[in-house]
Order: sequence, then structure tokens, then C-alpha cells
Amino acid sequence: MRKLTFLLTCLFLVGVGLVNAQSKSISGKVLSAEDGQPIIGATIKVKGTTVGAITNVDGEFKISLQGDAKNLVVSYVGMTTADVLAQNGMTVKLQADAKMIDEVLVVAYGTAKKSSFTGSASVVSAAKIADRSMSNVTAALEGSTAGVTVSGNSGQPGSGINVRVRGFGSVNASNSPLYIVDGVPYEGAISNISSDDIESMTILKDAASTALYGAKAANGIVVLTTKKGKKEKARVQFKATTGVVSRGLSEQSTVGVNDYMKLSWETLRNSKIYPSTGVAMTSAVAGQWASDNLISGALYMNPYTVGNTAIFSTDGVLNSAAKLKYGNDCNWFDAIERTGIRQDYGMNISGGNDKTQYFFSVGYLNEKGYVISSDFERFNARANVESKVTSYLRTGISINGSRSNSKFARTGSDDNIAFVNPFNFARSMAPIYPIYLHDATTGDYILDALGQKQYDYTSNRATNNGRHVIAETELNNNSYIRQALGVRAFAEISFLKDFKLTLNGAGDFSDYKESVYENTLVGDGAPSGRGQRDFSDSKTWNLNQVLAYEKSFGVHNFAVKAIHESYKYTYQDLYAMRQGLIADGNFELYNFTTTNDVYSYTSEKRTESYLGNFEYNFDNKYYLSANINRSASSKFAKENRWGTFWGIGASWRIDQEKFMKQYSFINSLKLRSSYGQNGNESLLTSTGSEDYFPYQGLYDIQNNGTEAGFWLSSLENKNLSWEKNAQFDVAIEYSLFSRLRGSFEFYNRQSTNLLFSVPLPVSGGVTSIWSNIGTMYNRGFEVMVSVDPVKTKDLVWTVDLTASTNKNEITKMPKNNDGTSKEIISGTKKLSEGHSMYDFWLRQWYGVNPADGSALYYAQDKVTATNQVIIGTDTLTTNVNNARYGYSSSSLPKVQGALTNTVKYKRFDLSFMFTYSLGGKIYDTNYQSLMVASAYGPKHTDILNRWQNVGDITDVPRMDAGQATNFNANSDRFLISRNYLMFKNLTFGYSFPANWMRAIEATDGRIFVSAENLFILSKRKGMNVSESFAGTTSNVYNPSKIVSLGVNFTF
Amino acid sequence: MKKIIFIALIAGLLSSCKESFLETTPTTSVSSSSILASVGNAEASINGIHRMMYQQWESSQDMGGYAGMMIAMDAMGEDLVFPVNQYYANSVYKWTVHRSVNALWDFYPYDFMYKVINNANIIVNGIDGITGVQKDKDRVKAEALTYRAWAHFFLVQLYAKRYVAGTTNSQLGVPLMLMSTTVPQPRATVEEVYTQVNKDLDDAIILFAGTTERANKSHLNANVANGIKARVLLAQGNWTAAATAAAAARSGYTLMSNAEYKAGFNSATNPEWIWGSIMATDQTIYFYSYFAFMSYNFNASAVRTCPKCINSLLYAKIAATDVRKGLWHPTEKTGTVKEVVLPTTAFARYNYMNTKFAVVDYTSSVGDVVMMRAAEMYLIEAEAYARAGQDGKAQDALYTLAVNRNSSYVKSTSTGQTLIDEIMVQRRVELWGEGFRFLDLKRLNLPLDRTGANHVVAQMNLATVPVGDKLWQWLIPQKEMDTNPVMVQNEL
Repeated sequence: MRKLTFLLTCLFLVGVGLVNAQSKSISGKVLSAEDGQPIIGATIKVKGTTVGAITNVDGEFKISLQGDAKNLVVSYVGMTTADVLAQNGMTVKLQADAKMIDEVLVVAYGTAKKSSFTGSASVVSAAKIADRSMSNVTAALEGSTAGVTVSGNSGQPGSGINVRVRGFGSVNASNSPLYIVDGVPYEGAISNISSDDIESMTILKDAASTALYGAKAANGIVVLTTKKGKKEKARVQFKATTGVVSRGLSEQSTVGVNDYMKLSWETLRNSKIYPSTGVAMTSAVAGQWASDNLISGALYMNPYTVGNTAIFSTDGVLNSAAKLKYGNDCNWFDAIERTGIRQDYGMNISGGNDKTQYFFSVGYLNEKGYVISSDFERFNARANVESKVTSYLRTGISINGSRSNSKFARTGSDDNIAFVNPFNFARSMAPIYPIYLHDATTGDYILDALGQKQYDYTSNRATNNGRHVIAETELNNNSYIRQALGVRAFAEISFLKDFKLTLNGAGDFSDYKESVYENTLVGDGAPSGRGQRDFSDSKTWNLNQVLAYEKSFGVHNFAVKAIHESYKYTYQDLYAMRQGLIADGNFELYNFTTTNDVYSYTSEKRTESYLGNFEYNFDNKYYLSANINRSASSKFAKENRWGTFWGIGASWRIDQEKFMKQYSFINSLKLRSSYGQNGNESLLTSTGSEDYFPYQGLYDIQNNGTEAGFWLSSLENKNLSWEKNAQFDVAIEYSLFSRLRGSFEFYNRQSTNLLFSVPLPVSGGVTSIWSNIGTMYNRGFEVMVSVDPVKTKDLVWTVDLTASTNKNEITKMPKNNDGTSKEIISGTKKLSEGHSMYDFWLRQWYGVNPADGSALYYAQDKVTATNQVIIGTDTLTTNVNNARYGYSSSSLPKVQGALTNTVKYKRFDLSFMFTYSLGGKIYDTNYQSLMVASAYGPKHTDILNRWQNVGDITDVPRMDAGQATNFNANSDRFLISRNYLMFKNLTFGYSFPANWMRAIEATDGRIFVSAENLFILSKRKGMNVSESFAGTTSNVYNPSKIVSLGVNFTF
Repeated sequence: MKKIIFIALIAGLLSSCKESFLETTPTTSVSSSSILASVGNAEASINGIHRMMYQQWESSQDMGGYAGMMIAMDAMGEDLVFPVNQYYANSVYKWTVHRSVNALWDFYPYDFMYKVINNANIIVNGIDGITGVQKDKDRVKAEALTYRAWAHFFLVQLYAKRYVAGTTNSQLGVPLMLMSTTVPQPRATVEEVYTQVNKDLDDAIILFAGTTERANKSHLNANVANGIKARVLLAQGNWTAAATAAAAARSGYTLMSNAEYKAGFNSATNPEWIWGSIMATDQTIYFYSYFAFMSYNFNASAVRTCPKCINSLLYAKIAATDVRKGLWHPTEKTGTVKEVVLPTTAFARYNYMNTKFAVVDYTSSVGDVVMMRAAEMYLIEAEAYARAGQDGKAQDALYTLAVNRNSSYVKSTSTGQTLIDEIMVQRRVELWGEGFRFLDLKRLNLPLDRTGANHVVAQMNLATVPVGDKLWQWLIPQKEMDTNPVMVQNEL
């Protein structure tokens, strides 16, 4: 304490001394050498002192020179620092730094300069995020970086995407990267964070850089860093955008009413000509039968003005008198869609001085999706403050809060085939079923007492009988409110000159309140009405302590860190459901008569880690890093809870070598490589949620009335432990001719001790057990190239191209009792040695028998003669149960990437990005259901090529109600190329001239147009190619196209 | 300064955690190691099986525990008519899914019954090692044995060829699981399965003797074990033993009154019920419920759009004075008088729709589900005696039941096949919708014949299936084929 007093006294005296010294005032201006524009916020320092100043809006500064000080040091990010003689009225022109700006990367427990980093990392900067219309900032990862792939781009406002870094390391555990927000793991919804608050997103791909989060970072890391204040004058930024939301992907093309009716008639007739048992009818008799039964036995509603049995003649000719009764009232997609509006406003204030920096922001987002009753609204606020309190203590606090509320369309995976899923419903409504009630004879609307049209959910239909997605969406309520609070605090203590101890504490708290009301008129809630509440609360605590030592001895630079981290996550849930609405219009549970269900539960997971990190560089030329990490997880039994992981990395900055100086065209050149191990403990249940207690043998509590009851749900496995992921990585990074930059990289990820849900014989009574069995690799190349084809004073054009490959292969599977390797079939895939986890395993489709139009599959080897057909040398079968299974390519693309163009011309800027994917297949379930041979649902236009007459050569089987299951069974018939080109994003902006801005005392102003998901080109129109990594399609909320207009101003 | 560093270092080191920090336990489950810790826990794990009978399974609404299988067993017969396309169980009615190895419906009974067996095995093999009152242990073990027998019996009837009396029955049955194990087991012969089922039931009946009476009818007791034994023996054609077991099963249970007959079949308080699931109002399984398919007045799509109807030919055989004549409504759609009172106008009406099954409160699908009742035992006695040639005893057993349902009923004087035919009509009418018809057709080697009745031709897919057709065997689910290398598939 006495020391401190002394120090303060000294400082005071020095200060007094300074004031008394001779001083001379200098004013000047700092301009960009390139375009002569003023540079705002450049730092001017009196050489050899700590006296400094910052340029204002016009690039002007004033500074006092004391004593014999003569020179000023002028610096600005991205410019070469100038050391100039101080003269009053001087103009300093700064040159753009010819070498790549040395990006600062946010990495595990600290930052690193890109030039010295031994790992593989890419940064998405705030500039790339700023103008885009995203309610979830991770959407900006798509196309940003080689080796990062995404899927699940949904139009549901506020929803996220799935991200994979360098393939798929795990079979039954999570493949999602770890998200780190401001230094600690983040479990919350990313959409709680406003994209305007993000300073950068860093993707850490290789093992050496992720190893410091080794306990959980096997699948790569996405580090989100929020904006901090800078050492500059206060700045205020405003941003406002408004956009139009529409559908980004059309529907597949389907046939009209007349074709649909003809096909339905045919499906009935053919079922009698080709009966599965019994005597076949002649074509004429069967045709008569089909005409008689078409409405009464199959479709139930007659869209024509002629009688039910008079629609088709016995040979299937449409009655010429048949007119449509209500032809304009059957478009269900028109009825569920609308034009959505998106509004996004934000404001922030930031600034600081040498000691304290601050950043405060608020934001408001409101997005209405293109499907009725789907919207998202968010309020958010953030405060980041850092202060160097004393000479040895630096602290910071970050607080953020958000509140989101949303109405959502029921398009989640649970609701794939639900009647309340608008996509499912509209896709399965044949074009003969009207939205409103019509008079069965005249086709006129039947109006209610108030003269209003009435939704038709009482007429009999072949599909979705008694249900009505529009009525239900309008009358029901599906909504949630999510509130999140995040707190980060740190204290960094410097001591003994080279040591630093940092204590970090973080808490993320969020609650999620989902409310559901199902109406009394139509649907699951009818007739009494139902209300549900699902309230959950999650809490994450993260504490870590970092002891760091940094020292340089001449050209030898060392840095050592020791870290301890503990982490605790608690999830609590309360659910209740009541039914029997009492008073109309009040959907609180209080207003229902009967309780159906009430429960609550708590889940927890905890981890603890000790980490060590060592870094060394020689003369900023040769870099070496090594780390070790010992982590434990509550998901494993005491005996096998701890895992040890390690990593090493090295890099060589070749451009720093003397012998390279002669090659002046080389701006930078670096070779790096790393090897390391990571762990994975994120086991997932079959429904994709996290399994918190995987090693425990458990009985689920299921009471019988009031008597305690439980039954066996999982088997114990105390041997269960960490899945290991070892990755080797080698890369070359370069920057040439001041206009060509990029990297070329190879990686090889080896996953061992896979967390496998091993299927057990069904007859054993438990269908699977968790085990650490199996190995798998992912390897591939990543290329990133950035070129500036034009780089002049007025025009800068930059092209960025990324491309990456990934080969995924399982090399070891669990063993059967007889020593052979297991082969696990799951959906359309089979896991087996020598194949990727996304290789399709399907019945083998041969084609259509020209003789009778039946579907032919390749037959199994040991097949009975029944249903056998021999064509040439091929043994085929018409019974799908006899069909042979086989591998049929993979859902994984060969090459994926993005192409981005950025053009700056004077004050205009234009940027547009395409993403592409080549190779791989899609299993198009949505198409399959449009190709079914029965009258069920609408039909794809491809079905017009169906087999009709003996001798027809086609690949679409005959329409036949009795054979629909057989003909339309899952097989490789429904695979199609996955290749696509997506026009992902376009931004066009104009920056206002400085003199305009000066008029309103602003420093910056900009107006821009941005668009997301402009179009998708793929093999089949309307196919959702990037829905899932597994290459399947379902009734998800298709991506939306958002076109926005925005402005922002900085003061 | 030194002080501060010291304090900071201490703070850093202290935050390292105790090992107990890493111990977490779920709140929705109990540890499997505690099941055999006490008789109470063992009993709770039997209660869990009772609960499995009315639980949501496989995320598919027609799989509401055992009740879902009961509906399927009738849907595959000729007496239950689906007048219109309805969701879910429809594919069973069409006779397609049980022959599709990847179909969920082919998998569901297999998976369900082996889960019952595994839970039972843990108790059967572990209960003797628990300290506790012997009588309580005996009751728990007897319930476990009864469940094990019941489940094996159900499986062998579906997934194997029928039991043929008087032959060796060496055709492949199903794996006989007598221990809780993950080691793949081969299919035992049909004979072996029946032998074990009989043994388990005999053991259970002995153990039940002398135990305290069960808490309610969702539990098993000697009556239930005897009732299952009667069904088993009937399937084996062991007639007189079947009749004896049936008589033992109904002992203590009286037939219901005509008023009770019309009360909706939804309450275990019915004096005739021997075994049934008892549902609490806050244990609803919503649209998975038996009543979400079979009742006439719960607002489920499957009820509202597709009320379940009786075969018109069978209906014609019911005497006008029979209480059961009023449970179906032959002109409900086409007639001018609407007999059935429905909750809303959105409910469709069809000729021959039933009002046999009803929910207590039309806003909730909760209701008790009957799995065994005295009438079935009278019918087993009557059928068994008739087939054994003891016509007098058969007439007596039939009379007791028939006169209760129809006070004008005159005791049958028929003999031989005529008597058997009369009993079988009574059986079809009495047990309509309760899960017997497919199993009856298969055990008696009768063809499926839906022709000439009110089945919708475009809807049912199959009108007839001849005896001996491979379609009578459910296929072994692909998931079992994939995981059990010693498994053999049925004829495809």
C-alpha cells in the first residue's frame, strides 16, 4: 500500500512537471494516400512520449509538443505507420499497408496474430455481417470459409442453421461445432445475439487451435466476439433496414385437376386389371368399376359439374360436359403464404480512452415470415466495459440481455407429417379439394349467417380428412417467449513483470416459455379446446483461471499458460396441459376445466478441465506450440470420466527469411502444420436431443395410476468414455503481388472410440446400448483464393473463391458375437466399414416392366420364385420385400464452396455471393410422395410419363391403388443429383460524400440494398437441396428470400 | 502487491472442484441397480409393465400400448369395417404392413412384447435373491411369469405358423427369452414356445395361490393367469383343459347387466372384467388411446371421419331381442332417423357404426381398456366343449352367456358343427373390437372373407385370404434381422 501511495504521488508530481514544461501546439491533417480522403480516428503520438491525439471527422488533429520533441508517429489500422517531422499545418498521407493486414484472431483464452498463428482459422468480420438480413448471425458462415458446410437453411424467422467443420467426426454424438461467445462456451440460442453486436466470428478448424477447449471441441469451434469500445472519441451509430420476405424456393411442379382426375381413375381401374389376389377384370369392366367408384370409393369429392359416376367413360375419357365447380379455390399454397416484412433497427454508442473503453448497444428486430402466423421479434441490449484500473489490474464486465417472441409455423422435425404443418398439409392436398365450403351441386360458396365464406373441414376427402391447416393456423396459437441474460466478467492481474493471472466468470441464463392453444372447432383440440405451457430454464456457469507467463530472451520468445476451467449446465422444465376451454378468448390454463398432464424435470451436466499451453517462437520466424488438456465429464462413470488430450503445432514464416527478400512480389508466405487430439461427449438421443446420463442403466418412471411404476429404458455401461478425434493439418498461406492471397490446406481427422449407439437384437428387449466402438476418418483439401483483378484509385474489384473436399469413411465398426463387423441400417443409410456414414443403402430399383407396368427391383440372391421376373441375365422381383439392398452413392458432395465478388467504385460498393456444391445425391422424399401410384395426394408432372399400355418403355410404373406401397417403396429410384448453384446474397451500397455528412455533423453515412437467397439452381425444380447433410427432404419451412433496404449513419 | 498476488493465486487454485461435482443423476428415471434392492422396487417394475399397456409407443398414434394391437387384431379380420380411408391403422386393415419388414407396424408388436419379456425376466430371475415377505415375492414373481407367458404367446401367434394340434409343431416359432441378455437368440420351435408358455403359466398359478388379493384389475392374479392359459390351450386344441382353465378364470366374476353392456366398455368397475388397463385422467395418452379409434364419441380424426362399423352379415345374425343388436346402427348414414348422438356435426355417420365403445367424457380419450372378461371364458368353455364333442356342457356354457344378453334366448339344442357355428357367431358378436378375430381365424385355420358385406372395396385392398397363405405370418422385422445373425425370416 505504501508503494502505491508513493507511486501515485510520483505520478502527480510528474503531471505537474509536464504542465509547467515548455509546449508548442501543432495542428494538422491526416489523409489517405490512395484517395485523398480524410482518415478519421488515426492515432498521433509524440515520438518518445505517451502524449497522443486522435484525428476528428475531417482527419484533423491538434497536439502539444513539449521540450525538444520533434517527431510525430501517425498510425491507423491497415495503413503503414508514418514517422514525420512535426510542423504546424502539416498534412500526413498514409499509405495502405501493402502486406496483408495482420488480422488479430480471437482464439482460445486469448488472441493471436494471424501471421504467427500455427493453427487453421478463418475470420468473418463485422463488415461481412453488417448489411445482411439475418436473425441468426451464424447464417453468415455459409460460404465464408473453405471446410465449413451448412444445412437446414430455414425460412422460419429466428431459426438457425446447422454448421459442420471439416466433415462429420461422430456417428451418434453431436457433429456441431462448439460455440464460444466472448471467451466461454455458449449453449443458448445464437439468435439471442444481434448480428450488429458481433465484431467477428472466428472459425477454428484444426486440432492444435481447438485443443485448448479439448474437452468439447472435436467438431471445431466458432468463436463469436462482441464489439468493444476503442480508444477514441465517442461514436454513435444508427442503422435501419426494412425488407420484404418471400419464398426462396418454389414448389415442385404438380399436375392440374384434369390430369389428377384421370390418374386417379386409372389407379382404380388398374387395381382391378392387376389384382394382387383373385380374378382379374377385363379392361372394360375394370374401367366401368373405376368410373363408378372414383368418387364414392376413392376421392369422395367431385370437382366437376357432372354426376359422380359420369366423370369418365369406361375407357377413361373425360365427360365433355364436365366443368370445374370451384377451380379457383384449391390452391393451398397461395392460402398459407403471404408477403412478409422485415424490420431491423440498431443503435450503439462506443468510445474510450487509454484506461477505459465502453460499448453500449440496443436493437430491435421484427421479421414476419412468408407463411401465415410465423414471425419473430427481438429486443436486445448490450454493455461491454473494460478498464485498466491500476498499473497491474485490468477488468471488464459485459452484460447482455434479449427478449424474443415468436409465433411459429409447426414445421419442426416432430411435425414433419403433422396436419398442422402447413407444408405437409398443402403438399398432400390434391387440386380438387377447396379451401372454402361449396355447394356440392352448384359449386357456389356456402356462406354463414354473416355472409362470410366458411372453411371446409367437414367434407370427406382422400387426405387430411376433417382437418384444415388454414383454419387451424388462424384459430390456434403456437408461440414462445425467450429471455436471455448473459454476464461476463474478468480480472487480469499482472505481476512479477512477466506473469498474468486472469480470472474469468461467466453466466448465461435463459428461459423459454412456449404456449400452445388448440381451438375448439377443428383439429387436435376440438371440440373442447386445449392449452399447453412448456416453460424451461437453463443456466450455464463457467469459471476459469488462466495463469500466463510471457518472456522474450533476445530472439527467443516464450509464452506459457496454465488453465483450470469448470462448467455447469442446468436445465429445468415444467410442462402442463389442460383441456376444456371455459370462456372464449382466454387461453390461460386457468380457463380450462381438466388437467391432462403436468410434469417437471431437471437435467444437469458438468465438466472440469486442466489445461497447459506452451508457445515459442524464434525471431518471429519459427513458431512452435504445444498443449495438453485433462478433462472430465459427468456423462461418464467415475472410473472413465477423465480423458487426456494433447496437440502440437508449428509454423514457418518463410517470408521473414533473408533469402526471401529478393522476391519482392512475395508479401507473405507461411507454412504451418499441426497435430492434436480432441474429445467429444455430446451424445445424442435418437430424437437428436442431448443425452445427459448415457452411462447409467435406467428405468423410466411411469406410474400405473397412483402406484409407483417404472420400466427399463437403458442399459448401464461404465466403460463409456470420451470419443477421441485426432487431426493432422498442413497448410501453406500466401500473399503475392499485393493482390493475390489465399491458402491451400490438407487435413485428416481420425475419430476413434466413437460414441456408438450399438443396436441390440430387438428380442433382447432393449434396442441399443452406448459403447465406444468404431473409427472413422474425414480428410480433404481446402482452397481459398482471393484476387484483386482491378485495384485502382476509384475501382477495386476482389474475387474470393473457396473450395473444399471431404471424404468420410468408417474404418471400424462394432463387432457381432461371431466376430464379423456390424452393419447398422438406419433410415436410408447403412453404416459399415469402408463406407461413409452418409452412403445411401437402398433397395435396388431396376425399372418398369414394359409388359404390365409393374415396378421391378433387383431380387435378393436367396429368393423364392414368387414374384420373380427374369429379364436378360437379371433376376428381378415385383415384390419389394424381395428386393435386394445395395449401396447407392452418397449424400456428401465432392466439392463445395462459394464465389464472392466485391466491387468498389468510388462511393458505390457491390458484393454478391454464390455458393455451389458438386457431387453427391439427394433422396427426395417430397418427390417420392408426389409419385405414389394411388389417388393419395397431388401428383408430380413426371407421373404423366407413367406406364399405360403394354409395351410402354418408361421409368414410372402404372397407376395402381393396390400396388402403391410396392411400386413407391423406398429405393434408389428416388435418388437425384445434389449439384446446385445458389445465389446466396447480394449487397449494393452507396456511401454519402463527406461534405454531405459534415452538414449533419456525421462521420459516415450509407444506404444499401441487400438480398438473401435469390435463387437456387438444381437438378429438380423446387427441391430443397441443402435441407440436411444426410441428403433427404421433408416438410420443413423452405428458405425465404429477403430483399432489404437499409441506411446507417455514424456520428 | 505480494498480498494481492497471493490472494489471487489462492482464489485460482481453490476453484478446482471436488469429484462429487461430476456426479449427476436424472430426475425422470431410477437406477437399474435399485430394481432388485427391495420387493417394493421389484413390484414397481411390474407396475411399469401394467403401464406399458397404455403408453404412447413409436411416436405413432395407432400404437397406444397393447390396445393398439387389439385394434389391429380385429382390423385384420372380417368383422371390423373401416368405412372410409382413415389414418394409421388403415394399413393394417389393408393387410400390407405386417408383410413389410421395414414397416413400423411389423416391428411394433415384436418390440413391445420383448420389452415386456425383458422386464419380466429381470424379476423372474432376480426376485429370489431379495429379502422380503415370501408372499409378496411370490405375487411379484407370479405376475412376471404371467406376463412372460402372455407376451411369448402373442408373439408366436403373429410371427410363426399356426399351432397344429396332433403334430410335432417343429415349425419355427420365436426366440424364447428366459433371461435378460443381449446375446442373439435363435427361433425356438412353435412347440417349444407353447411348452414354455404353459410352464410359466402353471408356475404362476401355483405362486398366486395364497398371495393377497391384487390392488385392482390392472394387476394380474390367478384368474388372469388361468384366462391366458385357457386362450393358449384353445389355440393348441387342448379342449377339455381349455374349458377347465376358462372356468377357473371366471370364478368370482359375474356377467354384466344389459344396462352395463351399453355403458361404453370404459370402466374396470364392470363386474365382468377380469383384467384391464385402468387410466387416471392425468395419464391420458391423447390420440393414442384405444378410444381415439374405437369409440364413437371422442373427437379424434380416426373416430370423427371413420367410425368403426360391424360387418353387415354378422350384424344380420344378431337376434332382434339381443342387447347387442342396439350397439350398432345399420341405417345411421342412409336412414332418416339418426339414432346416435354425436358431439359435433363434424362427426361422420356410417351405416353399421358402433356405439359399443364410448369415452366417459367426450372431451377426453381417457377410459379403461378391457383385456379379459368373463364372457370370453364362457365362450371358451362352450367352444372347447363343443369341439371336444361334449355338446351338453357346451350348450350350458353358451346358455349362461347368451340368455344374459338376450332374455328371449332359448337354450341351444344344436350339436356338432351346427353348435360350433352358433358358438362362433356368439363369440364374434360378443368380442367385436376386443382384439380376437385375426387370432381366431389363424388358430382355426379359417380363410379371411370380407366379401358380400359392407366393406368398401376400394378401401380394404384384400377381400379374401385363403387358408395356409404365407400372408398369415407376420414377417420378422428388419431391425431384428439386422441385429440377430441367428434369426431366420419367414417366407417372403
